[in-house]
Amino acid sequence: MANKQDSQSSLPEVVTEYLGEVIRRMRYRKKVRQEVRDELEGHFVDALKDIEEEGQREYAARKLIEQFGEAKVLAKLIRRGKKRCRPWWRKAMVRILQTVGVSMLLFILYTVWFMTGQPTVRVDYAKVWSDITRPAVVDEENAWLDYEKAIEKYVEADAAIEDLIKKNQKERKEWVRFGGLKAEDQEKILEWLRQHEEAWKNLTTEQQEVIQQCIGNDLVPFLNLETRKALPYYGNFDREIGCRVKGILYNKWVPLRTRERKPWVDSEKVPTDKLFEWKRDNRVPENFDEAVAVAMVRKWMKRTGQKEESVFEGFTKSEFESLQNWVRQNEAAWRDFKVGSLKRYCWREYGYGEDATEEERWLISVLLPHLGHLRNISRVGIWRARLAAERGEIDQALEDCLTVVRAGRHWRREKSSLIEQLVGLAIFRMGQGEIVRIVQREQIRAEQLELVQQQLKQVYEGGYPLMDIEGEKLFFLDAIQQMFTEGGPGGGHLIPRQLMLLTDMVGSAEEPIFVSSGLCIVHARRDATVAKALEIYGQIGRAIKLSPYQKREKEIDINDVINSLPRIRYFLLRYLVPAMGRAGDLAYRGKAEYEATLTVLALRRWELAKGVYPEELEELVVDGYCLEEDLPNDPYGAGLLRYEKRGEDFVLYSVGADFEDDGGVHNPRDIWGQDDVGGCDRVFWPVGE
Amino acid sequence: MKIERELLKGVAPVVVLEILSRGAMYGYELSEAIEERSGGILTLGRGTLYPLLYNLEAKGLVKAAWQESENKRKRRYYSITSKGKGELVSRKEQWQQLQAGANMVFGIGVTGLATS
Repeated sequence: MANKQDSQSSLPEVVTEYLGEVIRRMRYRKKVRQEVRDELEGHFVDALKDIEEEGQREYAARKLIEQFGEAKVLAKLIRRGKKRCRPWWRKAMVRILQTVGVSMLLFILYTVWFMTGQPTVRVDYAKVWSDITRPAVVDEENAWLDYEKAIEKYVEADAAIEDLIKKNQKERKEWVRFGGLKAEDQEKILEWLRQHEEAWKNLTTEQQEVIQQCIGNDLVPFLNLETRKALPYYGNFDREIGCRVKGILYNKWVPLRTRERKPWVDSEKVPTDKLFEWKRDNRVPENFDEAVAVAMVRKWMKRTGQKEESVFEGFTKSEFESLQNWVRQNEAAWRDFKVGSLKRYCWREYGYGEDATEEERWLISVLLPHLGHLRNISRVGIWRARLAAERGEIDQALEDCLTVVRAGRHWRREKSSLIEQLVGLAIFRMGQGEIVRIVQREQIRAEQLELVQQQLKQVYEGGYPLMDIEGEKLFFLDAIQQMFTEGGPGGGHLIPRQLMLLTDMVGSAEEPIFVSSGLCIVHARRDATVAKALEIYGQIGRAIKLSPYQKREKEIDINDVINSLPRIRYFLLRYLVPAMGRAGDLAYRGKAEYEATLTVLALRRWELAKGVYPEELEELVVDGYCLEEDLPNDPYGAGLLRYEKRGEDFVLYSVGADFEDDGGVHNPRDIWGQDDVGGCDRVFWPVGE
Repeated sequence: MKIERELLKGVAPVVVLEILSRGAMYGYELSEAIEERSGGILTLGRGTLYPLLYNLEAKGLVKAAWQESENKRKRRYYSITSKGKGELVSRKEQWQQLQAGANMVFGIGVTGLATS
């Protein structure tokens, strides 16, 4: 070290500077640079060792530096030579690090490019949609102008009225009223109670109190479930009672809907601790289930013992008056609504306002806002009809129902968006369902029935339209142009923030940005997405025209078409398309309800004329009560809806979504019989039984 | 006489290997030896010598090791490897053939080659 310092200090300054520059410019590992410095210094020391005179040393040093050449070039050459001297593993490591670095850089650049992608909105699909849906008639024939006025005048129901309506809807969903049962069925229930009374009586007072406390809180305790833990489970009273009563009436065991059970609820309300102890200590009372069933049936009998005479049964005077008042407040809105409903055409100019935000410039958000208002005004119409019927003004009541039906028709038509079609369907069903209820409840003259039948028939003169998804393609194509970049590999890529915007708009749970980004990277590019979408829409478009029964026969399942798509690569399609599968079935259900309503009206007219109902539906055609094409087809069966004369009444039903004839068993909690638990059918008549 | 740079570039590795084949040397010693043994005809620029040595080292033709000299100074000694020896034989043969060819073109005659 001392030698080194000596040799350095003895070298002329020009050498030190030169070597310093060479080493600095080498830009290499410190250890190697030091070695090179030592070696080159040694060279200068050796070369100058015999020259003692300062000036000569300086001169000789400069000559030697000249021989070494320019510091920059020497540094470069030495660096190159030293790099070649590296061992293979170091070379490999450097290459790997370089590759990783470059890859990361490329990835960052790609990510920045990917994340900052912008959609290019070229087509105004709102205008395209407006042009498609607008018929070639003058504006005065457009019902929408009247609906707009009605929406402006509509007075919202206050919270109290909303609660009242909800409560009424809930009670109308009562599986069946004990007071409404035929005498023999009431006797069946009473007989069952007598047979099982022992199970209840055998309980101790404490055990009875525990069960009553649960039932009183609308919770059905289950202790005999085979569960791993000793926890008691509870079912919902309203859901369970239907299974119990049906089991008694049809002498078949209907399993309880225990899948909906919930463990351990608020111990303040129910004695969970007691039930837990019984189960844990194997002290569950004998015949516990029967005893619970007895308590349930008793509660149900008490609650539904009276035959429902009026929709307003159970309303207090002030509730009745506030409802009347709400309907009266909406008189002006209703007038405009009615004027609109009588017009043949209805179309909207779809478009975005000048100050519309980015979010509002999606076709999907243009169409939504008005639908809720129209449904609310339709609801006013239904209560208006009920009040009229209560006053005995049946013509008025039926007319109000027909107004709602006609308004529903304006949206439940071909060339309409899926959402509009579904809302139209719901409005149509509201009006139509109320007509059937009035027909069942009230004494209606044959002429009135005939008039309603004619008017209802006129609503869809060309036949009930099936679901149309052509318009949905526009929504999807608009979503594509809003969510993808244009151009580049694959025609463009999905933009993460636009995907997040979509999930926000449709109310789905928002994914973190990195999840959305990952999804977008893996998702199919624009061209592939559009091509796949058109293929899928084609398949669904064909399948949606088939009834559920036809689809079953041909083993076509729209869900399979969707589910066969790769989960992430075609995420957008899987996300936006599935609702259409069900929409096709809903249209067929709507068709069956429409045809069933026309048939019920014809049957009632027949009965008024002849005193009895026909043996077969075809007799209605023979005697001119309806046309052959009006006879109702079963969407879930091969032919017509099931019709059967039962005593002085009749039953008209579809076998329901389980495709099985359960003998016309109705369950208002599962009106289309689509749940596996407890077979039932879609019963159109009698209503509610 | 100053030798053309490009010519020198081709012969320099052979010259270095040849001199190192006679014994290990450090950089300064090597540059002096080249000058001396070539009668001053071959003067390898110092700026060329060290990068050349590192390149030969990278190719495994020479190896280097720090050693302490008699005056206690550490020097980096270069010695030829067995691979370097093989390369030297091969390069020398090539060089002789090149020289013979060039002589014939210049009309120097085979004797010129024989006397060298």
